[in-house]
Amino acid sequence: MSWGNLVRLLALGVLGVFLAYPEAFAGFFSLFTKNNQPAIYNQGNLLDITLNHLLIVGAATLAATLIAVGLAIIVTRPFGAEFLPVSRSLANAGQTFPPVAVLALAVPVLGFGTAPTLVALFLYGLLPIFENTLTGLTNLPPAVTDAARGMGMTGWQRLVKVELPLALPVILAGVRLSTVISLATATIGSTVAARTLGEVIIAGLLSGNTAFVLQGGLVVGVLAVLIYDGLAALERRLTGRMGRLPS
Amino acid sequence: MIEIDEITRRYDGEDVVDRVSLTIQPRSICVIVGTSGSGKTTLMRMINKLVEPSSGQIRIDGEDIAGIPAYELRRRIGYVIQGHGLFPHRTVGQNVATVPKLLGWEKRRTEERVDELLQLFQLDPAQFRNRLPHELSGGQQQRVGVARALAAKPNILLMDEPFGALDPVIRAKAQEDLLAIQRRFGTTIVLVTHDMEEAIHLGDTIAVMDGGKLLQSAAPAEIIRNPATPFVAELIGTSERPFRLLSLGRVADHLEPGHAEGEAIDAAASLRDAFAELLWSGRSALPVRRDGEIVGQVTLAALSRLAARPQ
Repeated sequence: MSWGNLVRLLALGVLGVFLAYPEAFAGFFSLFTKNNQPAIYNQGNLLDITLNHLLIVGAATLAATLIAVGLAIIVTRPFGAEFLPVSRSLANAGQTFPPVAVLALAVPVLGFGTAPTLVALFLYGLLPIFENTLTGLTNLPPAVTDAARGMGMTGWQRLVKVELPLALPVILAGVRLSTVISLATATIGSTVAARTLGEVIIAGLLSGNTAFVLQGGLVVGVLAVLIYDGLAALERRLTGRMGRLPS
Repeated sequence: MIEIDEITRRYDGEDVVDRVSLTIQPRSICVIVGTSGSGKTTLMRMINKLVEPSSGQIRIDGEDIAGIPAYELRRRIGYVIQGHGLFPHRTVGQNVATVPKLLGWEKRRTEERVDELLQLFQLDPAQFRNRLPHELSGGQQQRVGVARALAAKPNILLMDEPFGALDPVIRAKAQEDLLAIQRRFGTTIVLVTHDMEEAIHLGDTIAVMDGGKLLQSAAPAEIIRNPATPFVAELIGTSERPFRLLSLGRVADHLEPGHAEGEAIDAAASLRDAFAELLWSGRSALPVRRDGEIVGQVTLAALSRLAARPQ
C-alpha cells in the first residue's frame, strides 16, 4: 500500500471513530475552548448530522448528474444541436448565482429547511457535470466513432455502447468536482435551517467556540478529500482500462 | 457487383466526387488510388452511406442502396479504417463480435465465429479473446480490425487505407493475409490507398482518382502500359514502370527449358524478385524450383523483353 493510501485510510479511521465516539476527542478539542465551554458539539448527534449532510449532497449531485448528462446528450445529438448555446448559458447562469442568493430567493417559495439547500446545490452542481459531459461526448476518437457508424450501429446504440462508456471518465471528473463543491456549499444551508455540518460551524461562531468551528470544518474537509480521491481513483481505473493516459 | 452510376458529392458548391461511374466485379479487389483530396475516400464512403451522394446512384447486386436503411446496409458491408478504430473499452472478442451481436446472432454461433476468425488471423483465441485493444501490437490491432469487419460474413469489404499505420514488414504480411482471405472467401473488396505500389500488388482493378474525377479504371498491367493521363503516369512513377510491370508476373508463367547454375528461385516468386536476384548475383539465368524440384530456368533476356514498353 502506498503512503498516500495509508494516510487516507488513517484519516477515514480517525473520522469514523470521532463520529462514533466524539467524547474520546474531548481532551484535544478542549485546547480550543475558553471559559469552560463544551469541547464537543452538544446540540445534536454529530454522526446524524454528518449522514444528513452527505445525504443532501448525494441527492443534489445525483439529480444534477441526471439532468446535466441528459441535457448534454440531447444537445450533442443532431436534433438538439441548436439548443447547445442556450443550454450552455443556462448552466453558466446557474453557476454565477451566489449560493446564498439562491437560498435567499428559494426560502420564500420553499420555506426554511432542506428544500432550498437542495435547490441551491442542484443548480450549483449542474455546470461542471454538463461541461465535462459535453467535452467527453464531443472529443471522442474520430476513428472509433467512425467505426461505430460503419459497423451499422444506430444512433442510440452508438450512444450507449460507445460514446457514453468512452466519455465516462471525463463525466466522472465533472461529478467529482460538483460533489466537492456541494460538500462545502452545503454548510451554508444551515443558515436556512437545513441539517448540515454548517450548523456545528455556525453554533461555534455564535458562541465564540473555536472547538465547534474546528469540528464542523474538519469533518467537511476530510470528507471532501476522501470522496475526491475515491472518485479520482475510479477515473484512473477506467482510463487505464482503455489504455489512455490518465489526465 | 457494385455499380456506381454518375455519382456526385458536393460540399459547399465544390464537387468532391464529380460524376464518377465505376463497376466493381464480384469477388474482385478494386483499389481506388489518388492523392489526398482526390475524393477517393468520399467515393468509398458513399458505398456504405457514411456519405450521402448529392446525385447519382449506387447499386449493389442490382439493388439501389438509397432504399436501404443506412444501419442495415452497413451491417452487410465490412468496414476497415486506418488506425483500426477498435473500441478501446471492449475486449478483442467483444470487438470482433460487434456486428453479429447487432444482427442478433445466437451467443454460441457468435463465439464460434470469433474464435474461428482469431485463429484465421493467427491470434490464439484463448490468449487474445479477453485482451483489450491497447494491450496488442499495431499489427495485431490491425488484424483484429479486419477480423471485426469480416465477422458477419459480408460479401463486400470496404477498406480505407487499412495498412497506412503499419511498418513495411508488417504491412507486407498484412497484404499477403488479405489476398489469402480474399481468395478463400471470395469477398469483393474496395480498398482506398495513396500508394500505387500497394494498388498494383493487391488490385484486380485500379481506379485512379484526381480532383474528384475518375481518370482511369483498368487492370494494373493496362494502367502501367497505357496510362490515360500524364497524372496517372506520374502516379505510377516513370522510373518504376518496368519494375511494376514485372511485379505483376509470376516466374512460373515465364519458364524456359534449360539449365542454369547457382541458387534456385521459387516458381511462385514475382518476376521482379527474379530480376532483382539476377542483377544482384550477376547471372544471366536462374534455375527455377517448384516443390523442391528444378523445373527450368528464367533468363535475364526474357525479363528484359517483358519489362520493355509495349510496341
